[in-house]
Amino acid sequence: MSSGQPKGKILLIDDSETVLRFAHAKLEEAGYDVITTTQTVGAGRMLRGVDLVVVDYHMPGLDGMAVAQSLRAAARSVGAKPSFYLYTSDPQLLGQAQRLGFDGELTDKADYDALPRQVDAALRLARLRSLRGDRKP
Amino acid sequence: MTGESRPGASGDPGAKPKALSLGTKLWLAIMAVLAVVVVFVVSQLTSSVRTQLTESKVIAGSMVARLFAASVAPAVDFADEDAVRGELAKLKTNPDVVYAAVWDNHRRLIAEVGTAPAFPVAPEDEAGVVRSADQIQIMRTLPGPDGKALGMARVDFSLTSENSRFLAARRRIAWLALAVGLTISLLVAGLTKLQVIAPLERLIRATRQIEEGQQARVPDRSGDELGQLGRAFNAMSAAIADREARLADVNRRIQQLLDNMREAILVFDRGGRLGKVHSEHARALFGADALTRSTIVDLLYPTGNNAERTVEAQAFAEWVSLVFDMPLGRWEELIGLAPESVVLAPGTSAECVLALEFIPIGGDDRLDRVMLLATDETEKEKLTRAVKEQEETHQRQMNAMRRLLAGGGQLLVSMLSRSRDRLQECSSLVAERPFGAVQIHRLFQHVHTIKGEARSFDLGPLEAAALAVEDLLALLRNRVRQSDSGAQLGDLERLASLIATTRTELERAGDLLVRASPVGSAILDQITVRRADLDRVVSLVGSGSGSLGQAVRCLAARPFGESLLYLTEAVPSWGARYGKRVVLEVEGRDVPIPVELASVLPAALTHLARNAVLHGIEAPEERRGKGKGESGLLVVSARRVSESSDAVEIVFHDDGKGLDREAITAQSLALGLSGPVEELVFASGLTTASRTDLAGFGVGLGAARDELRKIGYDLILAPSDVGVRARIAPRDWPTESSG
Repeated sequence: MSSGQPKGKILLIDDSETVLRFAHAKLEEAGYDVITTTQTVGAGRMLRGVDLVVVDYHMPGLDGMAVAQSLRAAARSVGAKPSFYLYTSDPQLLGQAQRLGFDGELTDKADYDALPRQVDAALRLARLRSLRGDRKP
Repeated sequence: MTGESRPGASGDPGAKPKALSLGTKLWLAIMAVLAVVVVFVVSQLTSSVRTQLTESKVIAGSMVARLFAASVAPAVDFADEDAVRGELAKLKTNPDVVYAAVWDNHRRLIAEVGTAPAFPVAPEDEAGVVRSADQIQIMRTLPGPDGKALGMARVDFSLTSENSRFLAARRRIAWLALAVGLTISLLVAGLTKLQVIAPLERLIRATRQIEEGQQARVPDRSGDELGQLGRAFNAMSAAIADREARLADVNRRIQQLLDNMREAILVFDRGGRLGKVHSEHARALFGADALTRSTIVDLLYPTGNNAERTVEAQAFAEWVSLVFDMPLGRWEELIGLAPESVVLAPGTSAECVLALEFIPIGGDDRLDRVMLLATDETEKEKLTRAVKEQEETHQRQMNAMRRLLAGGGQLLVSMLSRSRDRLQECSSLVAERPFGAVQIHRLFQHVHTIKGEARSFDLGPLEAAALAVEDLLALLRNRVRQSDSGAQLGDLERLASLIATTRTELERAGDLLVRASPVGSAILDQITVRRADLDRVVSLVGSGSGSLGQAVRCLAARPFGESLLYLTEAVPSWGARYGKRVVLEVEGRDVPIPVELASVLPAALTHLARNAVLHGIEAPEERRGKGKGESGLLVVSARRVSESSDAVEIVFHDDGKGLDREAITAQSLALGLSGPVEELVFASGLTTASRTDLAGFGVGLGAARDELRKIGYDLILAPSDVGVRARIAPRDWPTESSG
């Protein structure tokens, strides 16, 4: 576990406890504050202070756009503005998440070494876009 | 004259029309000037010729008219109209005369001859000459004898022949002028070409050569302005060549410098376009081809067959875009959002980990380019992973050993002891001569048993070593069966070596057992007895002062490590609860603790450990700020105070921040207590912590000391430069120990 202030707060939503355990350990080791849940229902309560929400692409009952809308509405209700990313092991699904209302995808799901790098990139991308948005008149 | 045009411009429908060359313009100008001059000269000449012809006719005609006037004057004076007509008729015989007429001084027309003029002739016309395009009209006064005018005579002469001669002359002049003009223009054009155009064309060619990077000079032959221009051009060309040579030399040195650096160095500008300057390592890492065709984003995050970028590539592309749009003064803010590393070809045998450092290049608060220093940390990453895997493997082995111990360490101890004996027997068998099937069979039995038992206890390396011996024995057994010569010397040496390796793995397993054992090496000396039997022996002779009593008390003593069984796992857990990292180290695990001390020691050590975790050990950030390691350290050591006594001294020491003297003093005052801080901490009810599950009641330490004092021991806080140092020792033992 890294010391000092967490690099960000991450909410992981996956129906596999094993995935959650591995991902939780890897991200915590990298310095992130991580919370996990196997359910999309009720995940809205956990969104306060969250910087990034990562959702399993193949969650049972996941109907994509509705989940994204629901999570975004829940985030607004608690004053949170996280980024929402789908998590998949299929690189061919790159570019599909935005169609479903998400901000992007994290791929290489089986590679937990790659997960901290992708999370870091997603957080940086959100911050960069925010800076660019601030510059617009 | 060459028509000048820019290369590549011809044939392009959108291109501007070809410009006229200087030579053409000069030639056209010369031609225009010559044409004007020729036309002027020709017109002047022809005008002069016509005037000459006309005046000659006027002179001749004036003479004829004067003679006619003189000859007809007498006829007019005598009013002899017939004579007048006769004179007119004689005059008319002149082919140039087209009309003649005579008037008297009353302006009456006396007679006329020839074609009457189209306009009426007024007799009051004065004497003189009137010229027209094809005639000249001469009016003369008819002189009388007394000089008075008798009348007027007019004679009109034709200019037809003069006009014809004029036209002929004009044609000749025109042709001559044209020939002269063309000749002059050609001469001038040729001179211009030679003296102006050709030198300029040479200059243009030389300039283009310089533009293409070649050296160029122009001939230095003339002393005029073009010659001066040529000399100046040659000097400029030489200066450019010199500067380029020096620039190339500087670039070579820079390239050498870059190539000698360990990092892959690249430069990119707005849009991520890669510059031409890069280091040898960059070329080796990415390939020279990729460096000429890719952007920095595609270079670090190649998309392969997928046209979509990963989130890492998207983040980097956004950073590259934004960093050039922001003022240079915001670089420090933006550099924190750049990637610190990248993994090329992840998950493949060609995986490469690069640490990235970005350096701005620019001025006037504007970023021009960014330099990337990429350090290959693949080996370092592999080493880190290998160490981590080794640590994890070791931890798994330790955990496995602990589980074994929890399930009955004596079995393992006996197995290790028996295996040691078996390997000794094996060494003896290998040394026997002759060496044959009998020895091989007995060796097989021993090694097979060791292998099986190692597998049972999950001792992988020991099992593998025994298996290697088994394999060689199988080989030797076949060889001995097939031939009468027996095992070769080399085979026996190899066998002895493998047995030595097995012995080494056995010792390693023993070391692992001792490290995992909470009682240390004492685990190897322990045997299992019934507690009831031991208690009976102790009660019968344990209180005696002689050697028998001492031996029985020693038999009942517990290894110091047993007192810390609980703390070994609890201390890190307590630390984690408060966001701290704490490690417990134990020295003297196998030191025997007298049974009476062993019953109260765990409580005292627990209180000391809890206080250290709660009050003493700092949070990782605070420890870093003090230059300490992130993990706090609790060290507990035990030693026998002398060989002749079973008394022990136990020292507890942590590397935290020590006693909070101010808080303890304040609390003591509030409770009406006074004294040294090292004594006040034992006071009942005194605590500087809020109540938690770890501490806060202020009774533990004092109670623990009371229990120790009941059995003849004391708990003393000793002076320490770092943290808290507590000592548990017999009450009559000196306060300063050598430990």
